[in-house]
Amino acid sequence: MNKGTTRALRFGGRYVAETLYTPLLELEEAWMACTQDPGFEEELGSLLASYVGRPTPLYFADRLSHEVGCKVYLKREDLCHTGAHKINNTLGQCLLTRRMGKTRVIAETGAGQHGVATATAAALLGLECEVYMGVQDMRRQALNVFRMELLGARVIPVEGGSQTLKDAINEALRDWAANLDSTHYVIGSVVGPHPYPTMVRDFQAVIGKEAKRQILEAEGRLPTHCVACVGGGSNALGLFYPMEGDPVEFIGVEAAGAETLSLRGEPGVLHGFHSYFIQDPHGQIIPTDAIAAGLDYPGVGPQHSIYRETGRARYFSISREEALRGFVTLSRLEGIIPALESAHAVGWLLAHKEELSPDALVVVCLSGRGDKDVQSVEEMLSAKGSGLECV
Amino acid sequence: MGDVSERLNEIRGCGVKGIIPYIVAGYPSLSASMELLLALGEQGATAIEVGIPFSDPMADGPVIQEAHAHALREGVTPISILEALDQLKGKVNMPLILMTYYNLVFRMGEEAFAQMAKGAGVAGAIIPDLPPEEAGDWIEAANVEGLDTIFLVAPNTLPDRIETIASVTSGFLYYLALKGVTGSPIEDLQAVVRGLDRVRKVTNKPLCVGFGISSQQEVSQLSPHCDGLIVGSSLLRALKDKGINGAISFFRALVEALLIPQ
Repeated sequence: MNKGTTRALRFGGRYVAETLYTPLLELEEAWMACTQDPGFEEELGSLLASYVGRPTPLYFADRLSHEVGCKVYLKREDLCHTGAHKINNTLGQCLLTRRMGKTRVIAETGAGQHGVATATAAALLGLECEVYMGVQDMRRQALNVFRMELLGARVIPVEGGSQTLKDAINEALRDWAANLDSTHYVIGSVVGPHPYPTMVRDFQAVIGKEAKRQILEAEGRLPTHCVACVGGGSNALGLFYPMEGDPVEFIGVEAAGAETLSLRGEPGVLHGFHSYFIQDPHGQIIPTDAIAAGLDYPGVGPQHSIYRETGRARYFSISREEALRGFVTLSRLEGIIPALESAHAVGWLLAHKEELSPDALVVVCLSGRGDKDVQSVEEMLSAKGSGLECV
Repeated sequence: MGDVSERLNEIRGCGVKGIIPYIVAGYPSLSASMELLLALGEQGATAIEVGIPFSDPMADGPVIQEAHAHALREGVTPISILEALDQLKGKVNMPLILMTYYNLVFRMGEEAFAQMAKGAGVAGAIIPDLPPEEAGDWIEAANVEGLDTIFLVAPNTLPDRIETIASVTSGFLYYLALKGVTGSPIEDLQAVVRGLDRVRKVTNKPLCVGFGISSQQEVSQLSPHCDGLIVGSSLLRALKDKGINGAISFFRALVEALLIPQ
């Protein structure tokens, strides 16, 4: 498979049906206009401060540091309004929607966090909101379905395919093509056709900009490692990107069952972009099976494929047990219950502590809080017949 | 210019309009879909679009999505489909056009895909998620083999872009009757007519229209404004509900509508 190498700089692109091509050009134009308009940045910045609660703390995790053997800081995106980093992006895109004169937003969601964040921003800005969600995910994340409905959004069950995130994206793209005049599609990660990966990266880069400033204030030096979970890869890219030119090692942590960059993926094209995807030898996409719905996606954002090809970041996968160990350990040692997605990043730290030197300085992106997951974690732990002690 | 435009120009010379059915290879089974292909040829198909099923057919509505999923459960692959088409050589007297999503072409490699398609007697291909801007490698590989590369124009495509697309398309220019997915209802037939007339002014290449065409009335009203019509979801729905014979009589009725004078 030499193709991946020869095409490394071509990851991304706009592989869409003709109907979506012109709207993507219009979106890019509207987005470029916003980036050059200080008024937009001011409006978004003000909402991020007063509504989302930014800057989020960079918290020195003393007991976890002791466990791991080096200094560990947590970037507390779990403290954002709605409980995850997703709101950084949805507020930006919903403001953009209003500027484009559109009145309706649609979104896909896996764990439900992006759906909740979109429904929240839509409620705040008075936009109609519909969220596509696989029926399997609706079962796994019933609480978030109800949250979206409370926020005035309509959740549309997706019955096709594997009934998870990838199929919800297919349905959202179909809806968008049919309702272009009224509707903006709020993609939740650094995936999709250009300009989405770039735009979402820029909205999430607030994570890394703050973290860089905060770690310099706290420690007087840059981190040696930045660690984040990767599904599509938006919290990871948000943390990494502002430190791309710095001597900081980037670690992307994938979930067992969805190991696109760490194990199973091959270059391909899906959902409008060229990147690594989990697929069979003919190019049929293979459904993934991660315990965290937010990581249950058979591809990654194109920038992560570029990071992998160029060696700028390393990608690992973490088993269910290691992720559960991260979940319970962080709860026990720091009093912070992480989202199962973020627990994979903590799990990587615990599993790889031997390779971190005592003077390593690690920033982990704690992308979301775990309230949504406590029930399924309880089921998984009791199904193992183990109780919490074994983890 | 490949076999597809040759055929469409030939019938245009006779003042006749073309009709192009779309089937999914492997639906309801690989052998049944090949039987259907031959039967549609006998019933007057100008060319036949053969869909190679994909796990994530993003441009398709429920009927074709279901057909793709079914065909994949039947175990067909791009290779088994091209082999089946190869077996039909000599029995098919109209151009065959592949329709599939780009990842399947990309995985096989553009050159290998084009060679194998040509070897199987295929005349061209439509790849709906591959706009001209991303299609350089594919156009090059298809040109080497003399395959037509058919591109699409949507109702919202801007005028200068229509010209760009018309300049790279070969075989015909595919006009989308609607902005949604395949099989959605056409709500404003006159808007489709206006769209076709708008595109007609830009290109002399054969112009065909598809997405959502399901009735004799639509066929007879649209045919004066194009060189051919593509029928997919409605044909597959007839196939699902009434079997192969039902699909063939549905197609016959549409062929007859082409002959109704305006």
